[in-house]
Amino acid sequence: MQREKFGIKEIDTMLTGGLPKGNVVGISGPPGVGKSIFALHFILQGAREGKKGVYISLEEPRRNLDNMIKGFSFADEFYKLEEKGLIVVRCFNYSDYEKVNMDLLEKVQEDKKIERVVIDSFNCFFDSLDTGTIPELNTNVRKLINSSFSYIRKDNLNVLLVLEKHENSIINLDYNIPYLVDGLIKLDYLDLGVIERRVFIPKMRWTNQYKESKGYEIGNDGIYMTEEQ
Amino acid sequence: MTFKFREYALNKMLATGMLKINKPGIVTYSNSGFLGSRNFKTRVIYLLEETYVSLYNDTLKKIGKVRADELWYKIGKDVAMRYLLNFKGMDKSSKNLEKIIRYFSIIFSSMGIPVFNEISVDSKKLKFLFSGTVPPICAVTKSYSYVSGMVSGMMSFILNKNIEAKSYISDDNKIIVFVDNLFEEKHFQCEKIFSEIVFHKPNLEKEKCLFSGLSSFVDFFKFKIIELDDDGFKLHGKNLIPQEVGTPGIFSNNYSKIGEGDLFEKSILKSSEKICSEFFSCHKTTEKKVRVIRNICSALGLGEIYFTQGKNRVTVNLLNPFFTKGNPSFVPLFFSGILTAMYSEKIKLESKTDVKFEYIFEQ
Repeated sequence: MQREKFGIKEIDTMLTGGLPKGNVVGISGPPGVGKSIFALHFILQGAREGKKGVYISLEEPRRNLDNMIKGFSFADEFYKLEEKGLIVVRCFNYSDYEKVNMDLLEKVQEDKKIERVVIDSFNCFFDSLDTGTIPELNTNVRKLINSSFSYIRKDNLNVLLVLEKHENSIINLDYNIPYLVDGLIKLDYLDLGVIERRVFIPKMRWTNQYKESKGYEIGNDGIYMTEEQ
Repeated sequence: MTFKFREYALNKMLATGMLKINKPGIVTYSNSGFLGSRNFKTRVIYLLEETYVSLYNDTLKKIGKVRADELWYKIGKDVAMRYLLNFKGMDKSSKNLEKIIRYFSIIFSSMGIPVFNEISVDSKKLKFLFSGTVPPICAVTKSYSYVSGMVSGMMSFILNKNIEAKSYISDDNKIIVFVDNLFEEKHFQCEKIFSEIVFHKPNLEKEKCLFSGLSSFVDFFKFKIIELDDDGFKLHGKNLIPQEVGTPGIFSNNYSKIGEGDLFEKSILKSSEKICSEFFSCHKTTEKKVRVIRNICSALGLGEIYFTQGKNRVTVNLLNPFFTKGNPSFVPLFFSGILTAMYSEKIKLESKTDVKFEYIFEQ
């Protein structure tokens, strides 16, 4: 199985070399765990290897995204790669995205140069379409998710779907996404006076499961793993 | 075959969902019944071994070894009895005797007493021998009366007669508990013993949840703050003693009965203050200390705590508190120790209601 480096050394070790090529992987966690930063590493690593990546942001305007990128030491490199066309960033609000959703995914499917895609966040867009109380419409949301997957499943395309997880566990934004994705990377944190963050990989098809979790922090260089005691 | 607690806890308690550890503030244990007893659910709390070790040591100093051991034997017996009362209706006929003993021995290993790897049963002569690893608390205090008491309670429940037990440590450092018909000292008055034990289960239907974002036991487990090995669960490497929620109440009542309520009170205050001071050692601000202790208490099944700091007072509100009718004093004492460590000032909470305690600072 060909592997695609994630861009964070220890994560690649946990994935026995990287994400399996052509996979759709979800990265989920509550607010503040660094899902988008993980996604930036993923896009950046691809661009470093000359692989075109598209970062689709559905919640943050470009200004906010820039503020986040500028906070890290890789900002200059990121913008240079963007200038070269190896990184494409597209920011939408939900109503605009609703109009272009399938067209955009179709373009991603047709553009042979695109090898990495991030959709941040994937599940909340579908939740915005969900009326909740009308079961028929819920079914449509699931159908829509399925259709989206049919566009993004491509042999040479690696897709990272950022999945928001509500802190209130009663609200489930997952739909059938955890079953559809080929892999799931879960991020979580614990607040014991200081925030401790950990990464878990409960599902990764065609990969020997890494049973342990690892601690990580967010620093100047982005995500770095903390040493285990 | 050697019994492995870690394997048992993972496969039989956690994987099967018998031990529910995913809710903040609440840990429950569901038992599907055995030999005709009904399904039941109990609440489990986890306290640090140090709390009990320090209580035993304080007791030893104050009343001497003989009385301390008598007291802890009685407490062990009551703790076992209270838990086993859930198994009313069980077919305890002699044909099932060995099966029941082995079953309860395993059940008890999840309630803080030793894992008995070897059990010898002579049902005709009513002689039984249990052998296993020395459990937490006893391993430090070198007093085994609590375990003897629990085995006595277990055997009295099974045989419907008062059965006493005695323990000693073997040359290869195993705890051996003897149960012998000869130890039977008095006629077993089942109803009297049962009525002495406050039997009030917290009503789990009233379990409340505010989705406070606090940690659950499973969160601590995932983050390796709580770890599991063959000796049991550990919090930051310190032994955790799992117990049915009524256990602190049984301790409190038995100390009061012998006129040592003050000793109990002082010891609990002192140990909760000491333990919390250690947890707070790397946190300077009250805000951080509050976050630490709220999450620890929540993960250990002690309920959700809300601290309200007013101008000259601090109020503690509890959601799903870990008291029963039998232990009204343990909870405010426990939280008094926490606040003393938090504010570095001797604080003793006054009870406003069962779930609200308040302290007014001197101006």
